[in-house]
Amino acid sequence: MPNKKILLVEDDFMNMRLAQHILEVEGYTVLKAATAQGALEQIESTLPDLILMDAQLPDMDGMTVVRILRENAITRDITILALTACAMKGDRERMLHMGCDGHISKPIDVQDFIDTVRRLLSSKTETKK
Amino acid sequence: MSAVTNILVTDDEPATLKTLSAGLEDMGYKVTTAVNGGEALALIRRQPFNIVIADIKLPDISGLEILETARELNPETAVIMITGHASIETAVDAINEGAYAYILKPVAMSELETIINNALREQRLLIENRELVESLQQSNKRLEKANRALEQVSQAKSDFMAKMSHELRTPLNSIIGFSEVVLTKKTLPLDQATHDEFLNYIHVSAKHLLHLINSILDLSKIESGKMSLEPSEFDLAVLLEDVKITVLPMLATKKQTLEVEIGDGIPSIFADEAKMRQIFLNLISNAHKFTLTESKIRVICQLETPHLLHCSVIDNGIGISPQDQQRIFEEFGQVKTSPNARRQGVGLGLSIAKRLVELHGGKIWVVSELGHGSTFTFSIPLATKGGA
Repeated sequence: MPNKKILLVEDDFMNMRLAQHILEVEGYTVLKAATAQGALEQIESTLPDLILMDAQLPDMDGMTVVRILRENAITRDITILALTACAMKGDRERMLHMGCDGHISKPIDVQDFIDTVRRLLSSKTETKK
Repeated sequence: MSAVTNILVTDDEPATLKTLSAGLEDMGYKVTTAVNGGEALALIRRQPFNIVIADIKLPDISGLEILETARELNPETAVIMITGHASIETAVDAINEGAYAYILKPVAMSELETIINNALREQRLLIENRELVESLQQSNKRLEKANRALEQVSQAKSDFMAKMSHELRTPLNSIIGFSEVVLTKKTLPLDQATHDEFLNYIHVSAKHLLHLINSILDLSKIESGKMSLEPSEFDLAVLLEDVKITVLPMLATKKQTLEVEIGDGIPSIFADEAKMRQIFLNLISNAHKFTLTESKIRVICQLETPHLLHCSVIDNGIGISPQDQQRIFEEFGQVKTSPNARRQGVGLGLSIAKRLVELHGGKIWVVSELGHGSTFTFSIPLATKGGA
């Protein structure tokens, strides 16, 4: 899947590095933001094809960022994959309800992660056609 | 109502009043008399009566009015109407209005005694009943309160589990993810530097996980009450020298220095040395994390009173906002100041320190201002060997 841009919003350095490595090996262009503010600042200008959003960010709840993106006409249709370290009952439903297109929980399964990203990107391309 | 049975008798015929009053007094009751309705009402308003006996036909008002007032002021009062045959219909009305009974003239004392005994028994039952209901309502309230407290504890436990799950999954994600990347050959072959980098992340995360698990175990031991104090007599200066040696390598990574000041007159301490050591280590480690490089961390111990030791760990670091000060002693209450703050600790150090201080019967608090550093102080009551 050449030249698809993925923005990683993740405050944990190692988890960010891991996702970055996996996605770059898959051929994606990876953009990074460690805070909600940092993410919001670059989303409008870079318009990534997919955002991998950590649910807990130091400055803002990741789901608040999702809401802001969904309310903005420019960023409304960007695919969002929630990545959380919460695995309590109901978390997944909550993420999807908040407007995320998909949800995976940590610890991630590398292949499952790759498949989910690929599936979300291709389904978005199809709907746009 | 008092143990003495108070009876009010109202009748406009002096002879009847006298006979009744004398008969009732013989039965051991405290009798008050009234010769007309107005007088009776005034007496009823002034004090409660167990029993009110009133002629249904009084010169000024109807006996029904006495009934109404007596019952209104004291619902348990038993009102007995005295009636002649002529006014028996009114007496039946009185029963419907809440009178306990009526008795025909001429009044037979034995009949009146039976009625009074029954009325008093019923009254006692009513009072007992009311007291039982009140006591049940009180127990209910206590149970509801206990239930709310339990619900809060249960909620706190769930919150803790959710946070712990989150904290455990973060390093696990690195360990599982990076090891999978290193082991899976189908992705691009890693160059040596990246390979080593990833192995290092696995190692760091695993150590972080171990630290986290140890801290959680400590906390759970304290919580379950299984951690008890093992006090011994020791010299605070020696303990702090030992603490200093332990933390110096950690402080050296940020070129920080530690200054220890011990006030005069501190006797040898009788406390749990290992736990005191941990309290100091946790507070100094906290100061180290949230203070810039090349700064000075100070430990000051002094006697607040002859029996109360105050120890402060002072830094000139980033400080803590008033709202964050509320929760830094909570489990995982660590303030996320920078994207990688989580890597600096597990967020249980202050919580553990607080519990260890409390185990000693002391208190811990923080004085801080954003940008101007923090002072964590704990107090320890100075017990002596063999008792306080």
